[in-house]
Amino acid sequence: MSSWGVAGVKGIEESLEAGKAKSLHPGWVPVLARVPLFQALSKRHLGRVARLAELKRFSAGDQVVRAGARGDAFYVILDGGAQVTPSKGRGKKLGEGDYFGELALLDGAPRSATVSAIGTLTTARVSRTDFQKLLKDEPAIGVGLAQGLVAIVRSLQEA
Amino acid sequence: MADGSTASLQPGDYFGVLALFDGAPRSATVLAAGELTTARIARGAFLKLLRREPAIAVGLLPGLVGIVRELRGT
Repeated sequence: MSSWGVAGVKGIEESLEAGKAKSLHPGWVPVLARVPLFQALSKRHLGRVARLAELKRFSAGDQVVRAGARGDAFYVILDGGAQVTPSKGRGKKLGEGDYFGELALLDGAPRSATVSAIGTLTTARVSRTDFQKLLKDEPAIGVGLAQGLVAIVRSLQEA
Repeated sequence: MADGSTASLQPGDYFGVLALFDGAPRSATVLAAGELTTARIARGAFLKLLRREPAIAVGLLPGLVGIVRELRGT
């Protein structure tokens, strides 16, 4: 769960809303840095990923992603809550600072769960298309991502 | 191996792929069972190659994501 206060979240919303984040909120990059996939990226590379984010709002009951649909984006919850309903197994709730779909940025695999807005929900969304374009443009980001993935594999092997 | 079990490897088998990226301590001891010939890729040379040609790292990402998904069961 998140450790950033409501004021910080509102600031991130506003800076993303201002459009492709010319004046990126200083709190936004650290939020991305906490995602294990991005843990080994340099500050500059994190900044480039951060600039891909777009603000996306949902109303109560809206589906953010649907189980089985193509994984076309990564989401971070900036405000509100979401219900995760996997095709099998137990569901869970997500709140401010939680995220999902980061692996979809790389493989576009079908969603393993449906995620719906519990109330009004504000997210930062990074599309797979934009992310893949960035990787083509700046493949050095791939080195950091590979290192992040190896660290994730190690932690899963230990668990 | 760390859990006390052992495995035997055959021609075509491999080990140490993740060590190329993170250089983590070996989780097992590997001994030659007889005469053994291997192909070895050194971590330093691999990382140098990735720096020079980072598109290779991009090409390795789907395989790594596949390993993560398999371990996670998603």
